[in-house]
Amino acid sequence: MMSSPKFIPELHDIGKLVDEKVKDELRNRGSSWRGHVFVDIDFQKLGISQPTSPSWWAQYHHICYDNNNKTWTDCDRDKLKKKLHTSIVEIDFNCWDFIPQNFGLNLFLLILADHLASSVSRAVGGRGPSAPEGIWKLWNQNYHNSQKKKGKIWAAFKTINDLKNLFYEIENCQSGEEFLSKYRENLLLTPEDKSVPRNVTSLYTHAELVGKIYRVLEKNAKLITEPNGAIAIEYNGEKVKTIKEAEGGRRTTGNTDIDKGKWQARLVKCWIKFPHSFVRLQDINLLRKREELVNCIASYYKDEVIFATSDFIILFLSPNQDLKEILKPLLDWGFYIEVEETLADLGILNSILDRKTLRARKLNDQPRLNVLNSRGTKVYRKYLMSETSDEIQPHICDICQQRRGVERIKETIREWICEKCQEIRDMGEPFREYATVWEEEGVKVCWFKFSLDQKKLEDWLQNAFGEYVDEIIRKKKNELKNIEEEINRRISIKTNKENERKELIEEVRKLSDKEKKKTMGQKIKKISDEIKGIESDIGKLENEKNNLRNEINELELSKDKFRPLALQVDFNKDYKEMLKEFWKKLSEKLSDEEKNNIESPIKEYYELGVFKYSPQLIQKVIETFLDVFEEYFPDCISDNSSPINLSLSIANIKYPIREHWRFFEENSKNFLNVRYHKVFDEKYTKNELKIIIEKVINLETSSSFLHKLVQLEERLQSEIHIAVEIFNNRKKYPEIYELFSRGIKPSKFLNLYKLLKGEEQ
Amino acid sequence: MNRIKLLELHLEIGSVIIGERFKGGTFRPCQTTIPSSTIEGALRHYFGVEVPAVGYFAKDEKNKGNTYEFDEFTYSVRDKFLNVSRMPITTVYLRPRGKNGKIEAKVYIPYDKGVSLKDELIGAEFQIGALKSKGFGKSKIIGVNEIESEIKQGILKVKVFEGEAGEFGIEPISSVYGYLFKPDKFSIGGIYKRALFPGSLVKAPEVLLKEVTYYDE
Repeated sequence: MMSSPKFIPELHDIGKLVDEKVKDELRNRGSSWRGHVFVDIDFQKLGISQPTSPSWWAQYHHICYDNNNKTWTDCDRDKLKKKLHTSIVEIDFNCWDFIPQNFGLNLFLLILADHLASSVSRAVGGRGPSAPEGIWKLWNQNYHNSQKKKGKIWAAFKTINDLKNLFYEIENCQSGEEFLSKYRENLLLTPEDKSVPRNVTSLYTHAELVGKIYRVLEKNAKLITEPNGAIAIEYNGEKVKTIKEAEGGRRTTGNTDIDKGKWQARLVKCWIKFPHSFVRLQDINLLRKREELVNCIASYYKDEVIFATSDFIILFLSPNQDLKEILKPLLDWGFYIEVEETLADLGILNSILDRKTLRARKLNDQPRLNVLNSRGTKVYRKYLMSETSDEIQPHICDICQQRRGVERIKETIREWICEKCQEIRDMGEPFREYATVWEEEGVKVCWFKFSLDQKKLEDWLQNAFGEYVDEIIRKKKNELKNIEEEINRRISIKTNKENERKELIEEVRKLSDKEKKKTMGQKIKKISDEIKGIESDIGKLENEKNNLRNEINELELSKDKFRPLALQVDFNKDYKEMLKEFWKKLSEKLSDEEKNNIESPIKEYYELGVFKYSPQLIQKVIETFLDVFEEYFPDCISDNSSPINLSLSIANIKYPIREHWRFFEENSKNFLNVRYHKVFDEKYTKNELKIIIEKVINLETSSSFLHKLVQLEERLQSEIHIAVEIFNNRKKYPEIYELFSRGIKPSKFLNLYKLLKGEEQ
Repeated sequence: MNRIKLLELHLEIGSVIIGERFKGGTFRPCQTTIPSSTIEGALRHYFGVEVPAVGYFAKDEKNKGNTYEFDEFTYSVRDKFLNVSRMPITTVYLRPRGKNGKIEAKVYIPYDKGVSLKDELIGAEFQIGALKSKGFGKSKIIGVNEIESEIKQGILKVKVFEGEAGEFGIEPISSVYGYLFKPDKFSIGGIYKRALFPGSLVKAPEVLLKEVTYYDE
């Protein structure tokens, strides 16, 4: 049975799932709509009933007031610029007479949430040209095309008949989750905004974020009747009547659009850490516990948690919400949380405002600091830990070193383990064969772990978006140059025509023959008409030039207005997909025997794996990683700035797991990081890895020559000698010459060679 | 500007093991910091003084890299009662990077507490850390300077007893806590005391900071 309808913010952009052809077709019938909302559509002509559910009012999120006609209408940006329209964000809530008051609050909060969830601040006025179709993923630019080839399409509503389904959804959809799940495929392929450069975020994530932010605001906002009878909206003790008043300006520098907003919120980034060291295999149950607790928090606080990975949570919170209470389950189990929290006006709050603020403080960037400070922007770093005592009587817990340990003896080994850590041990043996069969065999093992560095991701997204915009700007500048050349060409033609006319006029003056004068007069008129035509063309071109200049300025501004949060969510989703795909593809490549030799020891935790070391298996793991990375992140950076990395740690099975983990947790990672205990430590970029595999591993290069080079390098410590040796042998070993000339050290390719070819260490 | 006067000791150390507290295994890791407990223990043992101290391994002046690298040492403890050797234990240790080098370290003592020791400390040789009987931890103080360090907000890079932090001008803003062992005055027993660990957000002398920060407090 259907429950009473609710306001579902996720539906607000459902119109973006309609194929443009439908709109064109209806336009021909005189009953189309502008943009992606259906405020102005003529339902009678369509023969469809207008939805009556609360969610219908979400369609008004771009409503404007037409100052001439004194009516409410869908927003027209040109008219907005010319002040013919007034945006709803500037209009007193009490004057919103197009909507019942109880739904007015829904719409008010929806518009705020929509602004916060957009990938480029709505402060940037105009729109760039529409992209052909589909989302432009910064890390996978061919994504839409490849999905299209698989038969997937972004448009969920492709015919006029489909519009019935669309309005059925607005009328009957029961929840945001239901909508996101039903249209997942289409939403993931549709950009939040089809115009460049805003076409980088998926509509799925945008709708999901709007839903979350809306509900957090809704939990904290209420309608208040003032003594004079006017209605205000109160949030965190601050009353406002316009959206503009609530969010303030959208800029953090300059002189315009920098007003202080009355409503603030927090974006809180939490890195989940632990002091524990894995003494026994069961201690890695801690990772399982972490996964469980993160999932539990993400599900209980599903609106506040924007996204979560196994070791990172980002939350959107009102100023007074207790963070420690939310994270209590993690703290109770001995995890501690490194927190970076930004408190700011809704108009400027975004996931990199913390970095911008700290950078401004470091560089003493006064113009920006003046704005940030006047708007009460705060950036905090905190550590949240469970309560600790001042002192602990010996013995301290061997694992967490945060509580008193209880003596426990197993197999003549005495340990001191606290109750909590013992409870984690007692969660079971994650992978029994490791400590029994494998250990008895005395094999070498390779632990491997994927990581996603959120800080590197923020850096890369900012740069990648900047490059994307720069590329568009370059194209625009070329267009501008062409237009300027065309203007100059026309001016020159015009000048010639004017000179010609001048000469003709002079000639006419000298003529006495009336007939000739008439003919010449006609000629002069024709030239004058041509000049007028050219002037008109020049005028049009000048307009185009000015529009282009404005577009370029707006594109430049968009880099500063970029909000990477939605992209971070999209990227994290793809990362999780990539991990699942890795295990699937790897499994397809493995023989039955190999399948017994590899494990993902924590179920549902796809970042961690272990296998009995063999050159074949390690090659399969690395190559599968390369495959899935190319599939999901072909355009993502893949060197020491890579947000995603894979680390492999190889050692005898007796080597403690905590030491493998310590290696995984080290900073300064590259795309691939390999540590072979007591043999070598090496880091590779993706390009290095690919070329070494291609030139050295697959081409069966001479290992003796590789050894010779490494020995020379160790003995002489002279790059010149190495270069001479490689140069002298360039005909015999051209692939080595090529690697060296690309700046790859011999030790790098020899170590990888030994690892993948299994040469005795 | 808020500054604090400290005594800065420059140490040259051979191979050294500053063990972590893990038990129950045959493989022992090694820390890359010099906690208060370690350096205070050494000063107490060799100079008979009870002074607060903190330290860290310094970076190479030229290439800004570590002056140490990791290696492993395997030994067997003899059970004197049973007259048998126990299971061999492998420990990680730090050894100087490069040939004939030394690990460089810096140790700080609050000026008032250390100034009377200054002459005694210059050129002094002693041992720190574990497995001293195997020759680990030989240290020499090659320089003692009186310095003034500006108090700034930043990320702490040392392990210091919470109760002694104030003596170094360290004021916690948000702490990462751990525990360090504080022996009793007879060095027979002792207790674990709460300590500020690296990563803590503090106001502290700049020389004890990994990086200066600009967070709101």
